[in-house]
Amino acid sequence: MTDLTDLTLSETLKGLAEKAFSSVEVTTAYLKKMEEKRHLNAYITETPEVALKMAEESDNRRANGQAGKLEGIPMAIKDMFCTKGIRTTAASRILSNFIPPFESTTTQKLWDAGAVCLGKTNTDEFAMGSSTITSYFGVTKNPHDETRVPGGSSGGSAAAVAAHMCAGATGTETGGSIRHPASFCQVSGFKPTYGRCSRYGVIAYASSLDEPGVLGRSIEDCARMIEVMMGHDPKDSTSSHRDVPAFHTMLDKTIKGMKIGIPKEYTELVPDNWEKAIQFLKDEGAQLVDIDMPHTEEAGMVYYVVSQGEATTNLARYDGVRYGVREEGKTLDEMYMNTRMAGFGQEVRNRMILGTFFTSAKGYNDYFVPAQKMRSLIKQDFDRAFEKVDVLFSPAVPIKPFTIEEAKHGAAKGRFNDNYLMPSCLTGVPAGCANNGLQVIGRMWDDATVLKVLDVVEMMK
Amino acid sequence: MTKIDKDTIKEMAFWVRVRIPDDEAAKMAEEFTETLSWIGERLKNPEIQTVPPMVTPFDEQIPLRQDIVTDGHQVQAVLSNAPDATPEFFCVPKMVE
Repeated sequence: MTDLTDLTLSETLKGLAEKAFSSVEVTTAYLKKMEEKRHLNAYITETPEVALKMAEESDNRRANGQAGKLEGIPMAIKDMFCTKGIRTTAASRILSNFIPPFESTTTQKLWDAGAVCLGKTNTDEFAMGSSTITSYFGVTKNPHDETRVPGGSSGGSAAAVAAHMCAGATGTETGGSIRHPASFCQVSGFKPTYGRCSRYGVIAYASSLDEPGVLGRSIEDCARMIEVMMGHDPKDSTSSHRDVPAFHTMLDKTIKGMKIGIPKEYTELVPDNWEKAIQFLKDEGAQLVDIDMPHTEEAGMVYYVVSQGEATTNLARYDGVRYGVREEGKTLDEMYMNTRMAGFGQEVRNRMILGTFFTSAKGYNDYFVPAQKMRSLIKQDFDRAFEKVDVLFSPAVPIKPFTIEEAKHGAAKGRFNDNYLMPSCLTGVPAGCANNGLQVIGRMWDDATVLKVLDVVEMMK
Repeated sequence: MTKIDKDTIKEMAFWVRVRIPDDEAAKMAEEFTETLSWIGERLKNPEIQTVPPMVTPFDEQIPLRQDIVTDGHQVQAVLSNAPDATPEFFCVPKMVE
């Protein structure tokens, strides 16, 4: 019999519908694979008992003719999504004992559609990083070369997808944290338009940037997951009322006549398959247009100021009083101090300290607000580009995964690590990475076209 | 030019309730001063005076709702993760002698 973990999410759905196998069988196969590949450290918490119970319930629903859109599909959840009754840590010691009494909206939607929870995946602490080395639970290894990092911050999810330790996974982006590990692990990743997915129950890093999204073995798999996760949520005031199309039915395998922009600022360094990709798009009948995005260079600076300022505010809540780890002290202040010193890793502490400057009176007026104005200029670059073209096309991350040792010595701070990813996070436009490392970015709310083009890009041999 | 010294770093660390040793604070001050100088140069771009600050990418009307409790009476759930609590309250170190 075929190894059930070799099937894509879409193929698994087909097999389940045809009763070729049950959700319990496919879930059991994934649990076995998780055990075999445990040394990769892709998961922080495995939930085999929950998974088998959910799979059994799923099989019962299917037998009763009540199959949801992801009925019986075993999924991994980044440990930034609160899951009711299942430990949720943000890969931080400070939340290492936190059992949420509530469920994030997006994961609830997945369970309502029939998905099965395999466990919670590793990430950089509070999603701050692009290698998973800042995780309190240790680094995740890249399944393609175990001396290398999987990228990040959703590195556990990307590794789990690449190593067939789940059929698909959730991720979050703040500055590129889905597309970066997708590129490093050669899987597909998609972050929708800001406001498409509710942030309720997703542990906050920088609220004006944070976005839930997905990682899968193909863009079709991503489309199937993300269309379930999207939709209005009264618990998130920045959640849109727009209708959610059935994206996976809109992947019509053609880009003939489409105008695809190539921003010159995104081609300063390109991967080996770049020229071939350009030729492929032309052969598929797309019209390629050169585009200028003059403020691209500023995205890293704006991200630095805005994300740290917002992080300081969001992380103030970890006080050792209401949840998480507490380290005792003689006074309240001493207890706060002891708790936060013991609970947060150095990267997180540093970002909070510097973020404080940007939210102080001087830092706010001289740096934070001007950086937000620069953010408007970056957005104008996109607005102008989309007057001329349907989507933008570029590499996602033009460098190869660095080694774990290199990551410990600051490799992730290199300029080409995330400068093709950050502008689309700052502006909230939909963007994705195909499983060959190529990126498509679209207009606000036009998630469908991004997915459609990415799906074609994955046809490139 | 904004110059950040060791004491400012230590003060900011106190604001976010973390400690930082003197030598690390001094190193951070030096690096942060340099970073601020680089940021300052980038923000001299006169174009930024022509646009408003972008606070969120969300381009729809943000809704208002009645200021009423919608999910109250969940004391047990709220206290379930508290490191120290009585049946109805969070507990903290004694503040008043």
